[in-house]
Amino acid sequence: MTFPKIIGGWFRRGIFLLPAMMIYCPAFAAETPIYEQDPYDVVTLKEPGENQVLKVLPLDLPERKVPERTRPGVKIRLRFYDDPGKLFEVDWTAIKDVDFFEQRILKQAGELAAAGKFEDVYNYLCFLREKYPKTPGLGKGWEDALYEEAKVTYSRGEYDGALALLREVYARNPKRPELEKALGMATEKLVSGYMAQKRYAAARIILDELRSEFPEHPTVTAWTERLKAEAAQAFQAAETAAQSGDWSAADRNCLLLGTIWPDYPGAKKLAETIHSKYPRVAVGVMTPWSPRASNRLADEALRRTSRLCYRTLTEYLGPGAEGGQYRCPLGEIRRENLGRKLLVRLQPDIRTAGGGAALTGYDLAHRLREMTRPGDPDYSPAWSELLQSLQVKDVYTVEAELRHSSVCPEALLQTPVVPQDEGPPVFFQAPADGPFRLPASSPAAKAEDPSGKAGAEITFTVNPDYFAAQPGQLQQIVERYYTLSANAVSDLKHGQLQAVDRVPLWELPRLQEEAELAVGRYAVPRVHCLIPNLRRPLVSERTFRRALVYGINREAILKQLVGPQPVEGCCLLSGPFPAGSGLDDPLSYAYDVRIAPRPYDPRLALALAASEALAAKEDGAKEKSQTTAGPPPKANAKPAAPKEKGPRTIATLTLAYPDDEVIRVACTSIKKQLAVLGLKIELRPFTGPVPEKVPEDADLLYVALVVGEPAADAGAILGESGMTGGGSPYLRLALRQLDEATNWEEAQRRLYRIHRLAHEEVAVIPLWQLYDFYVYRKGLNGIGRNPVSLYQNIEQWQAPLEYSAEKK
Amino acid sequence: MIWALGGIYQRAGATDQSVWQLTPYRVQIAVAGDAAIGSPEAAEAFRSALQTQLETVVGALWQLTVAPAPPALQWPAVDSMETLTAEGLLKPDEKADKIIVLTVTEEGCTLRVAARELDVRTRRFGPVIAKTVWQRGKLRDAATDAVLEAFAPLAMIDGADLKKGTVVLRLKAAALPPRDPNLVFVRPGTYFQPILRYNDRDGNPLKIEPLPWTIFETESVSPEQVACKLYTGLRAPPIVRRRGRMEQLALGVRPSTAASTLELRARAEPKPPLAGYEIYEQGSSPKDLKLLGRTDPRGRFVIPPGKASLRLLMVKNGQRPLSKPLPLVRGLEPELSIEIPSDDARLQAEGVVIGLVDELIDIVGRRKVLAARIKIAMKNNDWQKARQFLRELRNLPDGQRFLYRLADEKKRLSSRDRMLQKQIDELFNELQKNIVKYLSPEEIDALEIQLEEAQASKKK
Repeated sequence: MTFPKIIGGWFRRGIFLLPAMMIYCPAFAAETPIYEQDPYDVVTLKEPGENQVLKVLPLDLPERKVPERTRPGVKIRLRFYDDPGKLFEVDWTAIKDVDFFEQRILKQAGELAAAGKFEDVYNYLCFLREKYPKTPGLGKGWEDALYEEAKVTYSRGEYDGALALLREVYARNPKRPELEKALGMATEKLVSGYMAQKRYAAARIILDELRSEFPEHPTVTAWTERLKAEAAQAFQAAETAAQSGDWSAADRNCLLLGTIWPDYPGAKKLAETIHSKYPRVAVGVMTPWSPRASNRLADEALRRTSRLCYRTLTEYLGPGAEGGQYRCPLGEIRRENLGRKLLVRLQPDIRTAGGGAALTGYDLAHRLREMTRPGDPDYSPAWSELLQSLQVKDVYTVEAELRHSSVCPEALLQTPVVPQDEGPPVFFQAPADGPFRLPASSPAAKAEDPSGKAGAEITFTVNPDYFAAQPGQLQQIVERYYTLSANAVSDLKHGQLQAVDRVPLWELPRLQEEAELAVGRYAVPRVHCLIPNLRRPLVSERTFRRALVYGINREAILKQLVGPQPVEGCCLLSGPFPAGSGLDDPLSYAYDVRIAPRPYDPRLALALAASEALAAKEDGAKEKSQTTAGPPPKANAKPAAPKEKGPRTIATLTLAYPDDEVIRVACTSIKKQLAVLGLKIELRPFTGPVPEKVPEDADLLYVALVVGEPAADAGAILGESGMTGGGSPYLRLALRQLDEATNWEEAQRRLYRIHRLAHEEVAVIPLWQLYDFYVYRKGLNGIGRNPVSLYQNIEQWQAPLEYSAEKK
Repeated sequence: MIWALGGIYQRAGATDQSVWQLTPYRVQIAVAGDAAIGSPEAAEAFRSALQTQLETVVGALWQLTVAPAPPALQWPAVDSMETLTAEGLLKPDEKADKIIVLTVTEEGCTLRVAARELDVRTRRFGPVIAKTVWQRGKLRDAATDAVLEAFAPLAMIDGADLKKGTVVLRLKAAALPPRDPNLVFVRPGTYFQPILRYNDRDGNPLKIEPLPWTIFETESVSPEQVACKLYTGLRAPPIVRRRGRMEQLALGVRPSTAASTLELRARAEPKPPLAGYEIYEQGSSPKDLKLLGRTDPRGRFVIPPGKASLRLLMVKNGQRPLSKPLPLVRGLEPELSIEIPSDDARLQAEGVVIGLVDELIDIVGRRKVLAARIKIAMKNNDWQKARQFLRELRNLPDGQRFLYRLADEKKRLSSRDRMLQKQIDELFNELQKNIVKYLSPEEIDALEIQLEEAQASKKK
């Protein structure tokens, strides 16, 4: 590499100024509706002739009505529509008929309704309501239009739409003929559909509405009887299961009863009894559980749910004064010999679900050794470099000698530990040793992967062999997946959920005003960034990656995501580490505040991107001409067809992202902004687990990382076995030097160096840092203050019974 | 007679050559594992038959003795030939040129014959050559094949031309061709490893060591000499001139399928391992480099087995190669090590410079864009906008600010190692020149003058 070559070559390619964008609006012509025309009345005279029908300016008549009786000689003044300057008088007796402007509108509205053009109809009627509210027949006109539309909607099978329209007709005219029958028909269709889907609450709501209108309606009577019968069955089943001690079945049937008929006699008392023996909660989640998830930094669902089924050797509790705070739920872990030795003492009798063998020091030693092997799921190059030797001191004690002292060896040991003969220590493949068993859909339970569709539920049932069970601990957790937080919050408010794991920031002001709900913040913000696929052309070039950073107006997108009220700690980033919530936040120890985020500079972005794209094209053409020499072009060849107008496409990139509400908004905005520069972005949302690396056929992967311990996580993001697949030799050197740091001062200096290198070479395209919030019903206790993940203190969760399926 | 010849060889030149090429190899084959062969009589018959067969095939090239291995050697030879030592094999006044240990062992239903050669002059062991037979009747042929394959030809280095990359060897016993004309120990493509033997006045070895990272590849063979191509990773391998009592020998080597592990350490004490350094294999041309991998945190790298018998490896760190191409015969040495100067400080400096280059590109880019916008504004007579862009242009980091930053970084990265400091200085000096060139204020001044003139002429 010589510097002059780089600069010279870049200037030779030239700078592309932003091309002018031609904007044109297609002209269109449409017929102007009557109500948008200048108003006029039509006066028809009795005497036939040329001037029998007169188009006049609106007549100035009291209440815009033709007088009932007129005497000969009483005249009315007219001004012609086409000649308003002249005033004429006509005797009332000469007038045969007056067609008022508003009447014509009403008549046309009727015609449109008959023709099924309901959107236009309501425009006409709204106009009349606003300008001519006293038009005779207006009310009937509305009613007829609604009724007609209801008929058409019903015939299309859209029964809910038809019912809504009929309700409005009822509100206007409860005594309209045939209305009762029509309402009954629509209700019947809807209720039978809901009952087939077992959506009892919805069915009851519809029936209640009909009951309020027509209490004796046969539809109401029939379906109410049916619901009561089903409720009786559920009650019986719940009672029987409770009496036999099958609390899981009792709870299931009681829940069913609550949705079928919550007011069933004895239902509430039974529910209270069952809840006291089998407490459960339902949690709304925005990322669904997957048994195949493996990326702990980026996969929120994995971080959340792994805590339910597993206890790792060390667990991160949150930022501390120097690095993170950790606990060892399996026993005790201690540093000795000035940090050159780790002593781990397991507590006895830790068994996996199903009463497997107890965990011993041999199992632990095996695990710690396996983590140094590149093929291991929890392989850590840093641990591999650090571990010198292992010794099993006794059945439950292991001593690990380290090559040198390390600032946070505990961070490297967040791994599940299971007896050697019980399978690979992979989340949701190994048997559970945590408070809950694996869901029935996990591979270990030999069932299929859940679809991840909205509404899909996963049930975690208590692990009776859990070594750290607490009295009164929850017996079941049901996670329900939502694609829209609004739906989750709605169900939370109605008591169908006890918590929602994450809500968008723009919803916070509204949620904080809800009396029954509480909002909590997670301890560690997420670092949002785009991981480039360094094996793909263009994004493998640091100049092009820099162009992407300059070309995205991150400030504007951040404002969109945060909403109208600023949220502390949500800010732009210049690197892959969290900036914390301020200078005194210990979490920000790796973030060098002297490195400012690159500003939004679309012109520079365009220049850099275009020059790299051109260079890539030239390189490709050169390679092709060297390998295949084709015939020279003919001298009289026709020139190429002129290209379409609009911004020229410099390159097309594929951006893969988890199909999450917030990320969807961000990626859509990124696409729009880069399109202005001629960079076409193909969005590829995915559900399911976040991959450990960028997919082979994608250029960029949007991730939101929980970087709780930058000193340990830096390698997992930027290292060769990390998400980026390894950066420049300079970054690799800096990461190696970080692993060798023996104190925090040294570690911080080296992390700052890594931050600078990652910023300069755009190892990741940094976007922003967002704090995440969860929301829960105030009755739910034990979540803790600022947890790292929702279930961090799951053993302490206490949820009172909130009976009723129809809380408003 | 042989002693006398040996004495003459030490002092005279031309006579040495002819003696060297006329004297046969004194080959002793020590056979162990009689129990597997059968009865003592059968073992004796085997040895006799082996000697006869070898003499028939090899002829005058070898002065051959086939005898039972001494009792002290029987067990170690049979148990593990890899653990044999020269001291264990050599007698105090050893006269043999080659000692080949041959073992016969039973492995289930088969018999395994293994041979391993010790070249006495260089004290170097060859690889273990093993053959398996199902029938005792084939034992002699298998043993013959194993012995012939284990045999490594020895040569003297007659001269080397480092510029041309050539070496001339004189093979021992070259004037005594094998009886079987198909038996060729040296042909084009045969590899030799140079070995230096330092002797005392009496010709006894004081020190024997192979020349590291140096291999000869035979190009042509004649009775007088063997012409070879020289591959070396050393700047000045000591094979050009004869020096005192140093014998410059070359021993034939064969590639094998065994893997080799390379260990990289820093040259300066305490010689820490060099982790993360890139190991490349050079192809047909110096620019044809393929990345094999990087050294691990302990500076080690397992060289994956390749197809080529001779491979040229290169060590790089960042953009810079840190070694000449290092020749490696596949599987010759299980463990290799090389000491090179630690390049981490230079690499760090290179990283800083590249970061600054990127920053410079961005600033220059912004300057160009703003200059273009100023010209467009002037064309449109939008003087206010033009002045605004000019202000933005002036507010961009200028050359002086950049140079201060460069000076700070240079100070931070300074080293006491003169060679290293020189390399770091080169990186920064190049960047400095370009900062001055591309961030000069004159361009902006000229633009400002242009703007003022244009505005003035429009007012008129």
